[in-house]
Amino acid sequence: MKFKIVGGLLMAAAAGMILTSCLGEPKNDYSFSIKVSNLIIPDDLNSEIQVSHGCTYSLKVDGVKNKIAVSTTTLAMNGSSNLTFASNPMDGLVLSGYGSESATFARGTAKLSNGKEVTDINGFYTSIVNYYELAGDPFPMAVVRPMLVMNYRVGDTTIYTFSPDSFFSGSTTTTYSLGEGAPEKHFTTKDAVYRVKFAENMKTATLVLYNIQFAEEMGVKLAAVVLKDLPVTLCKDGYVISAQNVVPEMFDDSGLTPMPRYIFNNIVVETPNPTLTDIKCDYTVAGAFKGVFEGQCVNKFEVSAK
Amino acid sequence: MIQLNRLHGGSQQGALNIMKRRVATAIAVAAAVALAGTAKRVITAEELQDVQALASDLVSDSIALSNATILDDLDVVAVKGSSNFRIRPLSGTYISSIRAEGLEVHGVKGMSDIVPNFYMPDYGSRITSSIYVRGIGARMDQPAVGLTVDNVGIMNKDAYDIDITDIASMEMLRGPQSSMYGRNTMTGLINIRTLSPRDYEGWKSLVTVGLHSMLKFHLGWYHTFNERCAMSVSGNFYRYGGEFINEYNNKTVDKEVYGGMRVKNYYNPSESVKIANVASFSLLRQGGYPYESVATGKIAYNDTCFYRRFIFTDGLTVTANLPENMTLMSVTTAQYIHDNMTLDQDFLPEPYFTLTQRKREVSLTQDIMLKGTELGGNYSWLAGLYGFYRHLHMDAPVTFKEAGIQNLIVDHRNSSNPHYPIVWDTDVLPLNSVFRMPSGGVAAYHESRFDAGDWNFAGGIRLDYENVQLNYDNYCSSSYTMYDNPAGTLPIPAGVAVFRKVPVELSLHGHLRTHYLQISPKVSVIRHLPGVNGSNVYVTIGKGFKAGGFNTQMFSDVLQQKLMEKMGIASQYSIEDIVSYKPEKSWNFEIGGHFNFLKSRLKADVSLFYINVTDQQLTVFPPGETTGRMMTNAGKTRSFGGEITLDYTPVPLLNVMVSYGYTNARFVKYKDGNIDYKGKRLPYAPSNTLFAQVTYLIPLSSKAPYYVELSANVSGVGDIYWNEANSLKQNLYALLGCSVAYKAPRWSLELWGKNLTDTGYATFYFKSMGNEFLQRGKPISVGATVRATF
Repeated sequence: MKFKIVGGLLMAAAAGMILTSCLGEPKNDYSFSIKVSNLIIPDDLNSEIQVSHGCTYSLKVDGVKNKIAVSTTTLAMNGSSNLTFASNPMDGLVLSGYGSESATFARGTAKLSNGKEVTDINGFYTSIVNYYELAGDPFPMAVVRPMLVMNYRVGDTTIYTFSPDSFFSGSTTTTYSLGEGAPEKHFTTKDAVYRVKFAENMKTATLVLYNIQFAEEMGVKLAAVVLKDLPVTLCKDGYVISAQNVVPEMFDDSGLTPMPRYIFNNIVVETPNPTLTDIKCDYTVAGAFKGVFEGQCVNKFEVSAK
Repeated sequence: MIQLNRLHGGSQQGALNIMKRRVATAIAVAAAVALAGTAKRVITAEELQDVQALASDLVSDSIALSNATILDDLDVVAVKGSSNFRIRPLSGTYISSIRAEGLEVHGVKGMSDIVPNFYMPDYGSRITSSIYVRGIGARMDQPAVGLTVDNVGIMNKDAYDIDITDIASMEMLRGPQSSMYGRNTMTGLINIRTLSPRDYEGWKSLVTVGLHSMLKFHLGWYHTFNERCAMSVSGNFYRYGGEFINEYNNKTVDKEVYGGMRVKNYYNPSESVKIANVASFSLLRQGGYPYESVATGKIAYNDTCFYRRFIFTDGLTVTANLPENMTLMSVTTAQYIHDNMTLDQDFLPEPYFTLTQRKREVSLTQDIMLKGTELGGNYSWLAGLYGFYRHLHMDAPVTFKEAGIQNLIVDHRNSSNPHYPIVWDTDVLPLNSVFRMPSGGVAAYHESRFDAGDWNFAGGIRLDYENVQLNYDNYCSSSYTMYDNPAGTLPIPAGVAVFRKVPVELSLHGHLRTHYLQISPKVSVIRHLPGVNGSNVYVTIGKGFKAGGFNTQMFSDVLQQKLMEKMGIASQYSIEDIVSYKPEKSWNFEIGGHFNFLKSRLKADVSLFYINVTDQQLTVFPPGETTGRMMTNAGKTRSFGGEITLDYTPVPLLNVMVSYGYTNARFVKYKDGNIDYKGKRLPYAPSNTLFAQVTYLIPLSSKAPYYVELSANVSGVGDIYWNEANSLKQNLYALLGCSVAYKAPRWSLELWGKNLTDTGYATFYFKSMGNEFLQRGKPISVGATVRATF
C-alpha cells in the first residue's frame, strides 16, 4: 500500500526550510521513544481487527541528513508479543523550533523478529498537538502531548499507531430552532474540544466535550460534558462509536452530576480513515439541537492512504 | 481687587510694574475721557488713579499671562519653559484669577467650560476625574493629562478633583508634554498656582451661598515678614445639600461636605537661593452617584453609595541661581491619599451586589533640573533627573446579595441542569480582594533651544523606565446544596431529596509584574513675526505616553468566573489577559500661531493638530452580567482637529473671550473579538467645545472705583458618543450663565447663575448587567458670593 504525503506536507516542507533557517541549526543525532497503541487491520475483512496497547517505538533522528529510523521491541500481534524490528534510515524531513520537533518519514522497510517483512513504513511524529487544560479535570491531559502517526505493512496486515486518549479540535455547528414554526438557526463554535478515551479492551470509550455550547442563546459554555462507556466498533476505517439516549454528566467542583436535560438522543463518532487523526461526530441533544463536529488531533502533516 | 505684585528688588520686577502701569494708564485714560464725556465734568487725579486700578483688574487673561511670566522662578512649569505659552510653540489656555472668580471656578472641573477641546464631565463622585483632551482621555486608572498644583505633580487621578478657592492662575497646555513631564501627560498638562504671600499681603475671604443648601467659605492670611520670609495660611469649606433624589429611600444622593487647608512658606536664605514649601490637606464626605435608570427615568437603588477621602500633599522647592546664568531647581513631593468608595454597584432597587474600594497610597517624587544659557542667550538648555515611588494598598470586596446570588449565579446554574438544581446556603456571598501595588520609576530628560533671529528651534527628549507590580489575594468561602429533582421543574418543588452538599472555597493569590521603557522626543520650530506685534507661528511634533499597569476592578469578575467554573461553567478569560494593560502611546503633530492685532487689543491663538495613538486604553464593560469595568488596549486610533481662542478688548472696560475646539477622533483599528469598530468615533470625548464670555465694567459715575460688573457666558459641548458602536449619543448642548457684581475697593457682592435655561443633558452613560444608566447634568443653579479683603 502506498502512501503519499499531500500537498500540505510540501508546503510545510517549504515552510520548514525557512523555519529551520530562521530558528537555528537542527539537531544532529537524537533519539526518543513514544508509547502508543496499534490498530491492526487485516486485508481480509472477515478476520478480526486487533488492538494492542503499550507498544513503544523508538525514533532515531539525524537532523542534518534528514534520516529517521524507527524501531520497536514491544510489538504485539497475532498472539505474539515483544516482536521487534528496526527500520532502515528513511528519507524524511525534520523540523525543529519553538521548543518542539516534527519529523516525517516514508518508504521504510524492516524485518520483524518472527521473520516477516515489514514494509511501507510511513508516518510522522509531532509534539505540536491540540491541547486543552482544565483545572481539576477528572480526565486530565498533559499540556503538550507527543503524537506518533505511523502505519506499516506486515504480511497481509496494516498496522496503524494511535493514542487511546486523544483530543480533537475543530468546528462544531449546531442547528436548532427556538419553538415550533420558528426559523432554523445555526451556531458554530471552534472553542469546543472533543476527547475520545478508550477502555483497555477497546469495547467502550468515554467521550468528553470540553467548552461546549449548543446555541448562542445558552450564553455560557459548559466546561466538561462527559458521556461514559459508549460502545465501540472497530472497522477498516478505524472505529465507530455509537449510542442512543445517553444522559451526560457535567463535571464541576463537586464531581460528576447527571444532566438529564441535555440527553444525547443519539451520538455517532467515526473516523474517515484508519490513521485515526480525524473524527466526525454527529449528535442530537435534547431532541432539539443537532450538532456536527469535524476535527483533528494533530495540526501538521497529512498522511493519507492511497 | 488684586494688588500689584510686590517689589522683590531687582530691576526686572520693577520693569514689569512700570510696563503694567503704562498699559493700564493707556486704557484708563481712554476710560477717563469717556467718563469725562458722559459726566460732563473734569476727572480728578485721585479718581483717575482709581480708574487705572480698576482697569488693570480688567486686563485680559492674555495680558495677565504676559505680566505673570516675569517670572516666578519657584514655579517648576515656568522653569521648564512652558510658562507664557504664547511665546512658545505650544497651544494652551490661561485663566486668570479674575476670570476664575467670575465664573465660580475653583478647580480643574471648572476649566472644562472654558478650555477648548478639554472636557472633564461632572459625574459619579470626586474620585471620578475623567479628562478628555483632543479626543484622548481616560475614565479609569492612569490619567492622560498631568496636574500640578503649586509644583506638586499629583500622582493619582483620584486626587484631581479638589477645591481651590484662592487660585492665582490656571493654565492648560495642550499636546504631549511627556518630553518634559513624562508619564501621564500624553495630551497635556494643567498647572494651577495658588495665591502667594509674595503677591498679596493681608486677609482674603469668600462666602458663597446657593441653591440646594450650597455654602462655600474661604479665609486666607498672607504675610511677608521681611525680604526673606513670607507665609500664608488658608482654609476653605464647602457644603452642598444635593439635588438628586434616590426614590428608593427619598434621600438626597449627591450631598457633600469638603474642607481643606494650605500652608505656604517662603524663605530666601540668600540672594541666589529660594526655598518654598507648600503643604495642604483636604477632607471629603460625599454621597454621589446619582445614576438614573434609562428604563424607568428614576434614580432608585437600595444600598448606600458614598465617597470619603483624605489627601495630604507636601512640596518642597529649592531654587539656586548659579554662576554663568545657570539655575538649579529641586522639587520634592510627598503625597498621601486615603479613601473609601462604597457603591450599590448594580444601581438597582434589588439587592444584587455592592462594592467597597478602600485604599491608602503613598507617593514620593524627586525632580532635579539644571538650566542654563550660552552663546549670549541664543542657546538655552535644560537637563533633569526624575524618580518616583508609589505604594498602593487596596481592600476591595464585592458582596453578592440575595438577588445577585439568585439571578447571576444560581439561575444560570439551574437553567443548565434543572434536574439537579442548587440553593445557596447563605444570603450574602462576599468575594474578598486585597491588593498591594508597589511601583517606581526613574527618568532623565533634556531640552535644547536655539534662537536664530526670528526663529527658535527646540528639541527635547525624555527616557522613562517604570516597574509596576501587583500582589493579589482574593478569597471566598461559602457553600450550596444540590438537590435531586427528577421532575426537572423550577422552582424546586417541596420535598425533593438532597443530592449533595458542596462547599465553595476559592483562593487566588499571585504576583504580576511588568516594566517598560518609554522614549518621548519632541521637536519644534517657532517663527516670530515682529511686524505683527509679537505674533508667531509654530510647528511642533512630539510623542506622549500614558502608563500601563493593572486594573484591579476586574478581579471581582475573575472570582465570579472561578465560582462559575466550580459549578461547571467554562471560564471566559484569564487573569493576566483581563487585568493588565499596556502603555498607550501617541504622536502629536501640530501647527499653530499666536497673534496680536489691533495694538494687542485682539489676541488670537489658533492650532491644528493630528494625533496618532497606538494601544489606546479603553474602559469597556465586559459582555454578560459582570460587575467590573475592564481596561483594554484598542488597536489604533487617530484624532485631528483644531482650536481657536479670541481674547478681545474692543473698548476699555469691555472684554470678549471666545474659544472653540473641534475634534474628530476615531478608531483606526479596533476589534473586541466580535465587532469591528474601525471608523467609529471614540466614546466619551466630545466633538465640539465652545465657550464665549462678555464682561463689561460700569464705573459708578460718582464713586469710582466702585463699579458694577456685568458678565454673560455660554458654554457648549457635544456630540458625545456613549459607546464604541456609536449607537447612542448626547447631542451638542449649550449652557447659559451670567453674573452681576457690585465691586468696592475691599469687598464685592456677586449674584450669579448657571444653566439659566435649565437645559437638560447627560454627562455620563453606561450599561451594566444589561441595564442602561445615565447621569443628568446639573439643572439651573443660582447663588451669591461675597468677597472681602482686609
